[in-house]
Parts: sequence; structure tokens; C-alpha cells
Amino acid sequence: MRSIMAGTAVGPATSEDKPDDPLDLSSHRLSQIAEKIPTPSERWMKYLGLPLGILVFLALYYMPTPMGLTGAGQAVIACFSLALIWWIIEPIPTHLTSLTLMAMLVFCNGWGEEDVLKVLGYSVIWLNILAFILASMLVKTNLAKRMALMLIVRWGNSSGALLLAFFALNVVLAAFIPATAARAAMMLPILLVVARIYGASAEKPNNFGRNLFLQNVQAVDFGSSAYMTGSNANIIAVAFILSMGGQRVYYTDWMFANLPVVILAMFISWYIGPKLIFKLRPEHRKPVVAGGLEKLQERLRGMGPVSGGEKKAMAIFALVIGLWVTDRMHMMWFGFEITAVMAAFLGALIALAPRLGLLKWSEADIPWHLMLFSAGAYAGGLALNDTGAARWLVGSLFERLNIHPGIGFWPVYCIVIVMNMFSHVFFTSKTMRTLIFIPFVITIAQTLGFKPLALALPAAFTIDWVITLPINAKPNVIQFSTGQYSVLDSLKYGLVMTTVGTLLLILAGFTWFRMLGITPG
Amino acid sequence: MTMTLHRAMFALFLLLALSAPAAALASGVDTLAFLGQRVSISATGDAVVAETIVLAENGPGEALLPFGFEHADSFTVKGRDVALATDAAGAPAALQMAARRQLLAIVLGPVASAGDTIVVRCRVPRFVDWAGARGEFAAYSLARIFINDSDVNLGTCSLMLVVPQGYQVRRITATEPTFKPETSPVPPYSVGAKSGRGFALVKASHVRPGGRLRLAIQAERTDRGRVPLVAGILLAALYLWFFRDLPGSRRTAGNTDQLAKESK
Repeated sequence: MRSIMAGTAVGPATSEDKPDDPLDLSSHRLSQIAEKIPTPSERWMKYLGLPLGILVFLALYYMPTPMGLTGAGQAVIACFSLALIWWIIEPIPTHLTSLTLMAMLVFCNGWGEEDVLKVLGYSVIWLNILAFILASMLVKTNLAKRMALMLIVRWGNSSGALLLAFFALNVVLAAFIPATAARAAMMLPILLVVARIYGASAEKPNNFGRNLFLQNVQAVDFGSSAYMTGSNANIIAVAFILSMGGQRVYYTDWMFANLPVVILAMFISWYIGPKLIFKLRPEHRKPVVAGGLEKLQERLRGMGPVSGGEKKAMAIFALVIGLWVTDRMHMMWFGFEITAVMAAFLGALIALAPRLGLLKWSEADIPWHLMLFSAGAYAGGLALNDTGAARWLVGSLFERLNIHPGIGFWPVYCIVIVMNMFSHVFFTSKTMRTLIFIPFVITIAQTLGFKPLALALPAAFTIDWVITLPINAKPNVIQFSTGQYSVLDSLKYGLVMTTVGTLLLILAGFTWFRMLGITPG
Repeated sequence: MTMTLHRAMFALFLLLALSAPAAALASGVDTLAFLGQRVSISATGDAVVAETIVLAENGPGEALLPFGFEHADSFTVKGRDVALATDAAGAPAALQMAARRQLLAIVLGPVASAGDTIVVRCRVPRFVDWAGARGEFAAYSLARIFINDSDVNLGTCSLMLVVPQGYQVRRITATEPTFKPETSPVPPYSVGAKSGRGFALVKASHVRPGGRLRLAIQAERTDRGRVPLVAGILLAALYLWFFRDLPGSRRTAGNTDQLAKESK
């Protein structure tokens, strides 16, 4: 960061930018992996986790191939199970687990070598890289620091108000920016500064940081389920409901039904996170900066007026966000659509352009280990899909539940919500999950004589609940890059909130959705 | 001489041109409710083909059906009031050429009616050259294209490849029709096992004359090699031994920097 500060004209560096300054992000580059000292129980888990993963792999790989599954599908399930165990327990770093998975997919003939290798060139990886370049620009120009300080000065009197502000901000942003990774990347530098102010860093994570980052993961993810346009997967689900179920879902139908559920879930998460899951100690409820809020106000004033660099960064970011928000107009304006990736591409190009831009290549803080982690997770997920293993797993699960004609609507409704909700743990793509699950749900509804919308729309509301593991969605990977929480932390909070979300949607099915005419009266 | 040749060619052309509609007219059916080809491959490379048809219409006479196996022999037919076609001498002639198409000829009697199932079986020697089909990871590539080169419309059509005992379907590498989950959520193909033998199947509806089905798979032996088993057990054992101090120490398994520092 010192070298970054010495680059293009940026906001005035204050005399207080010392190495131990919480507002100075130079000591926390995302591309560097922070080492954490594990607790004794974590050490045991790590010691036993590696052989456990291998044993599970061998058991699944050598068992007789189940009916309806290909040999390749079985091999992929075995490899993915090993990786899932290793990702959760972390006997080796998560990116090494991803690399192991990619190698195993090839060596076990689960997925083609070319298919595995090309995942690193997928748009999702590009979007991550470009988002980190844009985030580096915000850090370098001090714009992230200014925005974080403004937020803290306004809301930071108590950690609770600040956490709630971030939740609310994300739910509002979801209405305008459908790209979840973009939203996560936008918030990342601000969150990093805020976390530092509250004493949380990758080297010394604390419960404030865990709450802040994991609540942001949740806000970005299930915040998207408040709107039909919140994610591409939602739109696919609506298309299925129309094409297979013959019922149209309008934007307002979706929003009126699910926005209240999302807001309620948000409040519950905001309440139980710091109170029950990652209890906040009194010292983590206030900024750790000497002098407290007054000092931070002083620091904000000390930053002076918005600098040229910050203005430029704002303009570049506004261009990118503008393109993200107006994606539906592009065809009319330009004759082609500028995708979320290409919008970020444009922004990154301008940011890196000599003289015109703000950033040198060496100043772009790209966590490559995270790209490898993502690539492995996507390779596993795609291999599950390509070999038909994911479809087989879902189909077998529905088959085992023995849902037969004559069964009442509500047991089926509860099963569908529970299965759709918790299935996200084993998927790395919402789109894939939608393509597999929603047609199943519509077929079940039609077979049993229920209105397809009554089951499929609430099932679609679960699509964006991908909050349990870092591999489950792009924003999760981005937030995980901060090193502020472990996979186990994510699993713990994620499973609790997934249960809460399930209960809320079941409750809504009996009440709110019934009032709206979605579920039968 | 030239004139004679021209006349002969003209006569041949006329014969060919007239034979095509004649072949269609000879058919007792022009629509089938179902046609399914099941190709059971043996470990020797020979195959037993079973072509199952379900009649949609009652039409006594000769039916010319799509088939596509040139060197098939040992034909048998099973069904109500049906027989294999015969040649002028009365010998069985299940395979007949019509307008350069090799078709399967069966004769339907007046009793045969809509809904009847007819199964024609035959043997196809050397259907698979196992040595040539063997690829990486000891997987065998098998493929079959079914073309409806008859004049019959097929309501539903399926093509099944059954692998030998002791083998299983590794993966489906290509199909026609292809799977488009955005438009049709159910894949046109499936895999399974029947009587201890694995199979892959592709299905399509409304296959008109000229339409086709394709199924390409990889097959492998069900007995997976021992290399992953030995490597996995060895790796787990070595890890447990070399990292036996991990539960007591404050380092992580993946942290080589920390390990280096501690060793100093």
C-alpha cells in the first residue's frame, strides 16, 4: 500500500497513516494468505480430516454404481465429496483442495482435462478478477476509506446499527444490480476498512468481522431473492413456471410475496448473529481506534475535500454500476448487451490505463489463490452437472421421499422447501440448481394435481439462499478472500440461517403466500 | 454400341426411379407408434439387435422399416400374424434394397392390428472392435447412429446400447437429439441396468423419414483398478504418520512457512 500511495495523485495522505493504522489497508493485501493459529479441536479436525476425505472418496468410488448413474457420475460424486470434506475441515488450504479436486476429476476420468482446465477462463472467474481490480482502485484512491468513515460516523455509534445499515444497503442495491459478485466486490473495500476500525483483520479475526462479512454474504445472496431480477437464476425459474406450469409471474408478484420474507430474515440474522452465533464482546462493539468516534470524525475531516483521484474512481465506478443497472436498455442503446463481466472489463481497462487511469498493474490486489479455489469449486459443480450426477442425486432424493398421488399439499410444500433450501450446500451454481430443481417441482405439482405456481414459486424463493459455504456462490468466494472467517464459521452461521429461512418460507406458505393466492387456501 | 449403352442406362434409371415409390407402396404401414432398436453388445464384439415396433395402423402387406445393419444374419420375428419377407424363391429375405436403402422387410397379415408389438431379432457379427474402441483410462468408445431411411413416420423412437456383462456405461459423450435443459428439462437420454447389464438409451418423438438418433458412449469394466485404493490408503497412512504431531502443535498442515520456522 505504501507503493500504492506513492502512485498517481490520490487523496491527501494523513500523517496518521502509520503501519498500525486500522485505516491503512497496506498490511492486508488480499493476495497474501493470512496464517491463523488453530484451536486444539481444530487441530484434531485437520489431522483427521484429510484421511476422512480419502476414506469417503474410496467408499463412494468403489461402491457398486447405483442404477441410473454413469460411472463418471459416480467418480465425480466421490471426488466432490472428498473436496467438500476438505473445504469444510481445511486440513490443507482451500485452494489446494480445489487443485486436488481438479486433478482428481481428470485422473479418475470423471471430467475431461480440457473441460477442467478451461474453467479458469469462465466469465465468473473473470468477473472476480476485474472486481478485485476495481476494488483495488477504491482502496488506492482512499475512496473506500472515505466511504467507510462516512458510514461509521453516521451509523458506527453502535456495531448493531452499522451491521443493520449494511444489510439494508445490500437489499436496496439488489433491486438495481443483478450481478451478485459485482455487489460483493463493490462493498469489499469498504467492509475491510470498517472491519479494521472494529479491530478485525485476517491475522486477528474477531466476532465483529465474522458478523460483518457473513451478514454481507447473506445480504448479497438472499437479498437477491427479494426481486425477480435479483439474479439470473430467478428469471430462469420464472421462465420455467411459465413454460412448464403455464402461469406468469410478474415482477410485483415476486416482490410483494418475498420482500417481506427477506426483510424478516435479515432482521433475524442481524439479531441472532451478534447475540447467539458470534457473540460480540463489549470491546468489539465500538471502534478500536484511539479516541473513538470523535477521532474518526476528525480523520474524515482530515481527509479534506474529495480529491481528483477519488473523483476519477467515482466516475469509473459510476460507469460500471451504470452499465450493470441499465443492462436491459443496452440492446436499445448500443444494439448489443454489455454483460456484467464486460462492464467490469471496461472499468478495469480505464482504471489501469496509463495516465488516464489510477492503478498500476502491480497495485492491483488480486487474490489468485481465490481464483484457483473458485475454479476448483466450479469444476466440481460443472462436472456433477455434465455427468448427470447432480440430476441423479436430486431425482433419487425425490424418489426416496415416496411422494405419491393422494398426499396433501402441505407435506409436499414443506418437503420441497426443505430440499430446495438445503440442497444449496452441494451446489456451486444457482443456475444449475434452478435448471435441475424447478422442473422437478413443477412436474411433482402436476403429477399430484396441485397448481404448479403454489410449489414452484416458493421453491424459486429458495434459489438465492446460497449462504452456507464459500463454494456456494460468487459473492461468498469474494468475501471469503478477506480471511476474516473460516469455512466452519460460514457453515455454522449458514446452516442456522438456512433453517431460519426454511421456517420463514414454510410459515409464509401457510399465511402470507396464502393471502396472496400463491398457496391454496 | 453407344446407343445400346445409353438405352440400357436409361432403362436402369427408369427402373430405379420407379422402384422407390414402389417400395413405399409395398409397405403395409406408413406410421408406427414406436420403433426401438436395442443393440446388445457381447464381449466378443458381436451384437444381438432387437428391433421392436408397435403398430399404429392395420395394413396388411409388406412393411419396409429402417434398420441400418449391413451384415446382419439369423433373423427371427415374433408377433401376431407377422413374418419375415421372402424372396422369389421363398427363402427369407429380411433385408431388402429399395432405392439404394437397405431396409428391413416384414409381412403383416390381416390379423395384425394397431397396438401390436413385433420384435425382429438378428445377429450382427463384429459390431465392435474392442481393441480399436479402447481409449484413455481403459474406456471404450461405442457409438451408433439410427437413421430413419424408410418412408415410415415414427411416433416415438429409441436407440439403446447394452454393454456386455462386467461392463458399465462410463459416460454419454454425444446424443441426438441433444439435451437443452432451458427448453426441455428432461434429458432425452438415460442410463440404467437390466438383467445385470448396463445400458444407455436415447429417445425422440416424431421421427420423420430422414430423421435420426445418435448415441455415443464410453463403456468401462465395472471392476475399477486398485491404483486409487492403494494410493488413497497409502496417502492417508503417510499423512497420519508424518503429521502425527499436528494435534499437539500449533501449526497447520498446509502451512509450510510455519513448518520451516518451527524447524529452525
